[in-house]
Amino acid sequence: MKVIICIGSCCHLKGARQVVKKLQFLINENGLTDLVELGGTPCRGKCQYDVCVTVDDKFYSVSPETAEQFFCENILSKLNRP
Amino acid sequence: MNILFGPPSNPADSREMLSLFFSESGKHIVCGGSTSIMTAEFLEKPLKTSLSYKNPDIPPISEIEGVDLTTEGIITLSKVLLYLNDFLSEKKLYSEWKSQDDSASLICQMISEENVVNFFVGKAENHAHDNLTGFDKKSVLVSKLCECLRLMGKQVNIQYF
Repeated sequence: MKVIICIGSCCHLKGARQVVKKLQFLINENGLTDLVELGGTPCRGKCQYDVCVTVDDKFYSVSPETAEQFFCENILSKLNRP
Repeated sequence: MNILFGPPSNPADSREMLSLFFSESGKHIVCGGSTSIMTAEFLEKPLKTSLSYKNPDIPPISEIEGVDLTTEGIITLSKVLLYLNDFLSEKKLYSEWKSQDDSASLICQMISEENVVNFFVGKAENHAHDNLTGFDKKSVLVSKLCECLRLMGKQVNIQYF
């Protein structure tokens, strides 16, 4: 599973670093580092959303506050982990 | 050294802009998301973006083979301007950037070793910047950077596309 987080100008100001840190922590804590490749991207222009995140090319808008819920719904559950 | 910042106002001019940029000798720094993507496509190399925050205030760097440093745009260069203005006045921040490895510090370290700085500035409008409060627009930022560099005794050349 490939998870890409935008670290461009607007997403940075919307809390991209906090989203990165949260997802890194949750992936590590759940033992998923071998299954989830976490990477960054410069701005691709979807600046009207929160922090832009893709999971296997599917787009999501994620804030630092919703990062954990996003992780559970779109990473953990898709890897069939309880 | 050579700094590329922003795509050209006419996308058809990107090959000319990048050809001129890479034909110059010295280090090549690429600033900005769209600019990085455009450069990677021109060089036909992958663009690898880090998630390593060396400074929590500054977005991570990217890597493109053939480019000495690839960074985010407005936030990074605004920090460079802050560092250079401080260098010209109180020098309170010099100890901060002279040894750190975030993108703004690395740009300042490179600048300190150079006598000539060439800017290649694309005039394409980036509407993502419309909502960036607290930051100068690209054209104003470049103008302020050039003024700073000239006060530092650097020879500065700017080409707009």
